[in-house]
Amino acid sequence: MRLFIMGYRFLEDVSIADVAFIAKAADLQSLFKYCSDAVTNTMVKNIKDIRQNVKKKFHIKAKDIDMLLFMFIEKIIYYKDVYGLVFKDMRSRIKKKGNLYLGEFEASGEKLDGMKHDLLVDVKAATFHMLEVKKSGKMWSAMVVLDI
Amino acid sequence: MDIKNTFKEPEFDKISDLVWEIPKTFKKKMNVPVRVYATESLLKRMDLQVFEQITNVATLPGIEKYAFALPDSHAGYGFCIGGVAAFDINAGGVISPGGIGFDQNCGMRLVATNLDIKDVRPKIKEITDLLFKEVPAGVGSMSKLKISRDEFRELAETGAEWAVKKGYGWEEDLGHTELEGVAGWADSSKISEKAVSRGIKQMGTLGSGNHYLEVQYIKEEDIKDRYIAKKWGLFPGQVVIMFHTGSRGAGHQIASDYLQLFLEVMERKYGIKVVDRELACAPFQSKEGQDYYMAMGCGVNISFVNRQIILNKIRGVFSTVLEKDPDKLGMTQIFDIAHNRASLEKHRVDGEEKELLVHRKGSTGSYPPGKKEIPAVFRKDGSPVIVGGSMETGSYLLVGGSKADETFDSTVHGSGRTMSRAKARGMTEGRELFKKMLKNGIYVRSASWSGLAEESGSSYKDIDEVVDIVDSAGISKKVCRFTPVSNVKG
Repeated sequence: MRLFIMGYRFLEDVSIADVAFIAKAADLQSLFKYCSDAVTNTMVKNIKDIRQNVKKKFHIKAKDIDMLLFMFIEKIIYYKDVYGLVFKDMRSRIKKKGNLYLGEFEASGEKLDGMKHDLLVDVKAATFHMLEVKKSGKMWSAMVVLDI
Repeated sequence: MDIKNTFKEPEFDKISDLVWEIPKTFKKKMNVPVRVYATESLLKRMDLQVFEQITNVATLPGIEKYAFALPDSHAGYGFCIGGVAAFDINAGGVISPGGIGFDQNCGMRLVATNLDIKDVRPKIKEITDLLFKEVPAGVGSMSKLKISRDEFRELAETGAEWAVKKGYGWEEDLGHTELEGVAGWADSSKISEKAVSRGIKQMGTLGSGNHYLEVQYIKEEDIKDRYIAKKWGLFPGQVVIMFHTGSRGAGHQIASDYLQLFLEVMERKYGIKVVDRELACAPFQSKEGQDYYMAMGCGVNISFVNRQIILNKIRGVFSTVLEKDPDKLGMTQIFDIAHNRASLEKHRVDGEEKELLVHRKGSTGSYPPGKKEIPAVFRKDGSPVIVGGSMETGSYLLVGGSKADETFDSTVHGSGRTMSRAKARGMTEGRELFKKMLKNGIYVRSASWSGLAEESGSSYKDIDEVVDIVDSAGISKKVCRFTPVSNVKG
């Protein structure tokens, strides 16, 4: 299996009916961006085909970093189901305040268009199965299983 | 990272040629053994994650007798798909969203026609193209129906009855639906505004992944129980329609909301620790457990409504193309059944009758004759069981068997995947698959070539092998097999 240093990679042999991926990054902001890309890339084959003509800002408060990622992915799915949006870019500020993790996010993308985007499969939910965000040395990593 | 190899392979005790047991000693905290239904050959080919997941299920509080993995089992999240577990609600038994599946009442509906395949085949392209146009499918598919938020909450409580009253179906459809189309315990005050927002534009949509709508027919040699087939209106050459979908975004949001709530209270209020957070649960009799049960009822109803609206569209399409009213085409509903649901049922456990909450995740209720869970029109025969195979192979209609009590009246729901979506895409090209299927007499319309490749027949176990196991075990018996002629894929 090909090694990767930063970015995301889909895992072929985990939760085969669904989709699993690992993301790695030097900081939490990039990690969340890669996770956003992985969720989008599960639904749209080429993220580069997505234009950035709609912006959405949202805040999430969570008691741990795993929950922050779970709620973050849930929000991406919410925008897809309610507004038909998929995101190409995701900027974030994540900080720890007391016992809470606070995330401020700015997403940009456009409405799904079957004629323009090569669509793959719908992501219906984030799951807690194997969900883990951790820091090893200087690198952050996340393991995620999406419900399909 | 080779996660697959981190799972320990269990040693199985052979109970019979079709039943294998993983003893309680396999894993700390297992409250009951696990029973796997498979031939020795299939057992060897099963994904190790299935055993990892089902033995985790066996650790949950209040679980009775065994945790089951059926022949179509494959790795899911938390519970394996094809998993069954029953909890004694009067002895601290729990309810777990992960044991029901995010897509509550994901299920199958089977519709009859009085048409013969030789009359339909010349029009199959026209029918399928119009079905593809009328039933939104694929990533982010939305409905053209305008439903208000209040109406959505109403349908979440009244299920298929709501749809029939609005004109999306026939009164008799209800008697041919599990629970007669309504989970009466649903309370829409238990679902979030987010769930309403996600569901409101999705009623009457198929979704994607393994959701599909298929036109099929019955070969003479594929009728296995002539008496029941005739009684249920099935005959050789007959064209039927089968489709697979569920509660869409609303159901997923309900499960997500309660999963988060259960993680919050499970240990703090109830002292329950789980080995996988996706198994988060609460005692059924607790406030949180009851709230989720009522919310899940909404998910069940939302799914019934979704399938009811789709049925109405299917009738409209056949009527338009064949220029006859749907009733003149004999488009009666044969049955509608869930394969993701928790059901309150009475079962005898070691001679004692208990009230159990049976979790079936990717598993179908298979009730033997006489059970009260079976709608009146089928009660003498046993419950109809609709088993969807891959789009290239075929599907089955079964009936509840005399030995179904061994698995808390539960059976398979499909054939079960053998490989990941990514691997399937790497092995099959969507356009090539389309051509191959066309050559084999199956016309497909799909929202995505890649999505089509993910659902190739080679991505699934052999449906005949899977069904043979439950038939031989007496859990459900074959009524007939269906051969696909066209498929609409999300």
